[in-house]
Amino acid sequence: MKKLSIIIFVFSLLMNGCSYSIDVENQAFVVAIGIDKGDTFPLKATFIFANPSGSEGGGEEKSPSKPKPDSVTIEAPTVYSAVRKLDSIKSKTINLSHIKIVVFSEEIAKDGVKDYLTAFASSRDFRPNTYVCISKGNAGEYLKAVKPSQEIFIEKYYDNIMRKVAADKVNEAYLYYLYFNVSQSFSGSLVPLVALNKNNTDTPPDSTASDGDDFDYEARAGDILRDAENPAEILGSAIMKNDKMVGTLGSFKTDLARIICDEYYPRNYSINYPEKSDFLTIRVIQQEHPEIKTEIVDQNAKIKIYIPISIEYVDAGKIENNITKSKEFCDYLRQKLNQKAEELVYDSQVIYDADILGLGDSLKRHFPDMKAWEKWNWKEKFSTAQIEVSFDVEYADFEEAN
Amino acid sequence: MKLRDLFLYKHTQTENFSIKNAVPSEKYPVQKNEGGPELAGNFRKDFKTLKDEFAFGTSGDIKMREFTIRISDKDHNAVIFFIDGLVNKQFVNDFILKPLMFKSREMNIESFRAIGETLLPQSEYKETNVIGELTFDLNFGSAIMLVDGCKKAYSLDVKGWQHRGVESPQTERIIRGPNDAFSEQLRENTALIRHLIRNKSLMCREFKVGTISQTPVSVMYIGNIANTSLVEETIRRIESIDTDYIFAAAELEQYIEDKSVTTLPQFLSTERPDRASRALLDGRVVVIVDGSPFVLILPTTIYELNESAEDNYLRFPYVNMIRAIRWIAFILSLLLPGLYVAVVSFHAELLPTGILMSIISSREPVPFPALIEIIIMEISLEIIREASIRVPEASGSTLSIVGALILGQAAVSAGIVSPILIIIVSITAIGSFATPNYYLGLSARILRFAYIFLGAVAGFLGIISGLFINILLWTDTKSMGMPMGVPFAPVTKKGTPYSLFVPPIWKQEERDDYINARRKKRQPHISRKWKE
Amino acid sequence: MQNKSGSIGIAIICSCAILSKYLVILPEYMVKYVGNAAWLDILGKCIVGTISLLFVLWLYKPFAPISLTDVFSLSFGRVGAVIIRYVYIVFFTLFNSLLFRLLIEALSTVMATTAPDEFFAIFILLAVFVAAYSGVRATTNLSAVIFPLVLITAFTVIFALFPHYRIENITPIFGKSMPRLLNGIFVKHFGFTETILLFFFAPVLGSYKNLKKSGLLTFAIISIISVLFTLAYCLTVPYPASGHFFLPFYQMTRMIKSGAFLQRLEPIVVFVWTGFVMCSMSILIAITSRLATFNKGTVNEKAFVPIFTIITFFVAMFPESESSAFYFYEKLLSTSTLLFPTIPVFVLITARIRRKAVKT
Repeated sequence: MKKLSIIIFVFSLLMNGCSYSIDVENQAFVVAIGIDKGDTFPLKATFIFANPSGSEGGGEEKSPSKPKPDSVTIEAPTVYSAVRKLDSIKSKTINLSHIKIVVFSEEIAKDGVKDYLTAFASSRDFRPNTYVCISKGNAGEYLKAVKPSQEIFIEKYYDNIMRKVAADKVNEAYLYYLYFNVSQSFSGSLVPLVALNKNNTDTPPDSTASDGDDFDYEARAGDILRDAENPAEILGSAIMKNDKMVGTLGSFKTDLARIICDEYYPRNYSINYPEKSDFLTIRVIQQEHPEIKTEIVDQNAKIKIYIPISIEYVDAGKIENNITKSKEFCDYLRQKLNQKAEELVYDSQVIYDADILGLGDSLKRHFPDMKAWEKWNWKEKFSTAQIEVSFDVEYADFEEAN
Repeated sequence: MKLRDLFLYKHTQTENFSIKNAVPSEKYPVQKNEGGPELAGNFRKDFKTLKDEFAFGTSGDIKMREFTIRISDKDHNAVIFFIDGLVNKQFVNDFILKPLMFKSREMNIESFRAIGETLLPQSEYKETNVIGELTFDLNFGSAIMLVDGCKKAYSLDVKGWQHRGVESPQTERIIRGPNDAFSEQLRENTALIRHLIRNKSLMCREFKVGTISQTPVSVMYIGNIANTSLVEETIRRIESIDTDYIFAAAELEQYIEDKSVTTLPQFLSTERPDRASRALLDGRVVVIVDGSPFVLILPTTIYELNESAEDNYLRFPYVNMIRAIRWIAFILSLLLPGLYVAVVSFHAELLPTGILMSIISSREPVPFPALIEIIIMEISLEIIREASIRVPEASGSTLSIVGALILGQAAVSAGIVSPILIIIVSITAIGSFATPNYYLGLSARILRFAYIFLGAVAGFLGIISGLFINILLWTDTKSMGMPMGVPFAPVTKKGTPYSLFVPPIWKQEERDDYINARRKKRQPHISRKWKE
Repeated sequence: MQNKSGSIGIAIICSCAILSKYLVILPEYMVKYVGNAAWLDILGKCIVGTISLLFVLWLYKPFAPISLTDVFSLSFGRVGAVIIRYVYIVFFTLFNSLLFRLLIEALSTVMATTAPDEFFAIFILLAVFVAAYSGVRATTNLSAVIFPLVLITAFTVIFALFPHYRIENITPIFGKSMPRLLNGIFVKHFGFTETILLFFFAPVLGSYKNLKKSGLLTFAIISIISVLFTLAYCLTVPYPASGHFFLPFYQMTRMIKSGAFLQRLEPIVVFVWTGFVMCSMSILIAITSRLATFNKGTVNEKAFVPIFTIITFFVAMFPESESSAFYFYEKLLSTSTLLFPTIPVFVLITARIRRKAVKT
């Protein structure tokens, strides 16, 4: 009895702990941050807040009204000082633990994002699965202009759209994976590119599409010819060398890079088959994991990547049931893919000098320890490495053609 | 007038009665039924002694009938005393008065011995001259007979008081299995167990507890299974109780349990004979108290407290699923409100954003913090629960409507509580009803408040500290010297018998090893000889 | 019953005491030194630790089942025994206090409140005090209940992170460099000091066979959990980022995202592990109280528990910041070979020699 009463007495002294709690309804939750270059201060941060449903807290069922997301843009030297300034604007306590997406503008990305990523990764607020993108143009404008038509809550929109790009795999669209990559001494990353679409149906787009062929379609976000209420788009990727943005990659090459890095999910493509002067729609499925064979020959790296893929015809006109024509088409496709892959490798080695395919990781196993690896110096050896990517295309069908 | 006079009780002019100082009790000495004064052997004197002893004339239900018995052609005076209400009067008339008054004249008996040998047909019959024994027997439904010329008095079994028959259990009903329950009669209860265990090794040791009430208590065990030290300790504890009265097993439990200052019950109480018999066959001891339809099974473990009688009658996939559900229900009833308060006050990052937004929108109009909100709801629920026990049947439905209205719709519409809290409180209440053991459910009700406070004060840290101390105190509690956390805390030799996961019945070969029963195995390795 | 079956309970409580470091400093501490070969490092350390345990057990064989504290008196007499006991008391108190401080810092990072560190400290210390006051047996029972929860959470984390594993993250295989790895295995320590508790519990275990069983079970548990966990960490987080994460266990749990619901589990996991660390703190305070008593008997033992609890609190609050607490803790870990197996080996060899001398 004495023991119990002592316990109760002492625990009751700790009742002052109630004052340390903050109820959820007294907190404001940030769901997106956009980082731009500031005019007066180094950066301009845009914060998008989630607003709970507009229905009153009654027991009656009301259809939830679409809440309008709240946004605040603040100039500050760092992100956390912007958060501190936000405290004096917002009445509720700011909570950053529900941030879904961080958008860097192109300008900021070109200067380098390592400091931001390190700050975010070291904080308890930003989750590892926060999405990261780079915006063509102003990040704050992009975030404010997003008008989701299928979702009630803005955070659902970011979740849904980014999930397609991230595809739930190890991928630099996630904050932590980008941070891991950026902390290496030499690395390359592909970060999703977002933008607002300024086209309308009268103005022709940039000539990034050749003849409508998806394989030659190198559009980036903001280039799609369309007419919709929501101007926000996500297409293509930004190429990062270490932590600085050095260029952009079009939509097909981004997909190709994803296939090579084994981060891919099936998708339909239309291809212009000159033999038939016809557009065919095929579904590309990655059949097996890519086989990466690496060798160190005379202090130089030799990398061979073999990727078997299979295709299904979605709309293939006359060649669908003809086995000979199928084979010809597959050969044509193989050549096309190999050519594209060569271009991609050339871009990464010569133009951008960024290991966007993550090939350095596959070479590390040839070295006993980090000392030897650093001595070999992949940074120098990358541009002279022999990288061969070969695709093997098979038509996935069980039936014998007539 | 001084300030302290305000706080002193004062007998006012309008009150005519006040409790005076008590006279020490000399006039009604404590009854002893072994040894003590004896009858004189003289009919007149003994008649008067017994009249005084039994308080005939003072107590209206003590009856007396004088009559004569013919022995050796001579009429001898005789008298019987009995308590109206405890005896079966038909038995008194047909099996005492008729044979003694009529048959004694027809049969021409020659000696007093013939009274017991030929005239009285009772199966239980005793001759004694110890006044204490006679008093005890009278109070236990026997008729006491005094015959002129006979040095000893007769105690004749004619019990016949009114009682409830064997009915279904009130709190442990099952769907598939027997549904008979113990009643308030000790003998009936022991008979129900004997009916299930037809074995000569089943022992039934009898004791009297309570110096005035002399309540009969039986300790049952199976001689060649139960651990001797367990039986001896049980008997030692029961015999060393020194109190005036005990009326129910629940009171006896509080006298013999190891630790009183804990919310955890240390014995299992059941009203099912099949459960008691199963416990006996596992090597446990069963204590039955006259006047109580619940018997005590000792020792027990925490896991057994959350078992139901139906577990033994269900096939093994069902029983494991239902046990898991019961444990989840218990844990929810204990921790859910505390976890809600902790998450809402300290750990907003735990919730997915969608759920968080709906919680915020429902909590926004509520003026109280989460702690106060939940205390209001929990206390209202407890009040309704208490009221529903006492409400007359006629107004029962009104109370349930009022309760539902107050706790549900009206409170939410008035903005006093948020809708999500209604769900939390309902799940908690249902979880506590799903706990088979009433005391364990009560302990969850008490401890829930502690967890709510801990969660409000320090979030998950408070809850984990509370759980830490709770589990420590519970695993440190012993039931008849056996730690209640077995077989996990401490880990016993055979690991985990059937506490959490129950195998099929043909695989349940071992008795629980922590009981240290004299027979370790229940059944051989191949108990289904029809299967190769 | 108790003597026969205490071995599993004792193994669990010793594993508690050794593995509690996992929540707060490991495996980041190892990664900083050896790079992403930390899993090889810990595997090597566990093997070396098991071999040293077997050696100490072999030396202990003639003395089982008496407690090691009695063997101290056999070796060095009463005065020597008191000195060695106080060495252990001081080191255990320091280990306990610094781990406590690091735990508080970790929890204040995890919990988004404005509460001061002392607030968390008092909460934890109260619970620890109650457990230590209830005695070694009660704490052992408690840890036997918490341990399965810890195992479940640890394995849930390890398996749920499966999609995140990349074999390239543990290449090059020998980490920063081979000499560093060997240095890490043989010289820098994981801190197996608490293994000595097994020998202090020898009378409870009853026989040498039980002691050996308990010891091997302890090391099996520690090896499996620590190696698997470190391997999971190294596979998930590449070097050099792995050397810069605060509270690796917490970070790994944060990375789990299996669908919309199985995410954001880290407060639950961290607090289950906090319960684990609290068990370890309780047993260390209980043991230091026992070591501090001069005569056998449990009455005096309990009187020391509040004293050591208060000392733990003040020593824990002594470092000015987390980094200085971490620095002191690292320095302490480097002395852990002294406590186990050096002192016990020395004591046992001396005791054996003296026993032989007495016999002859």
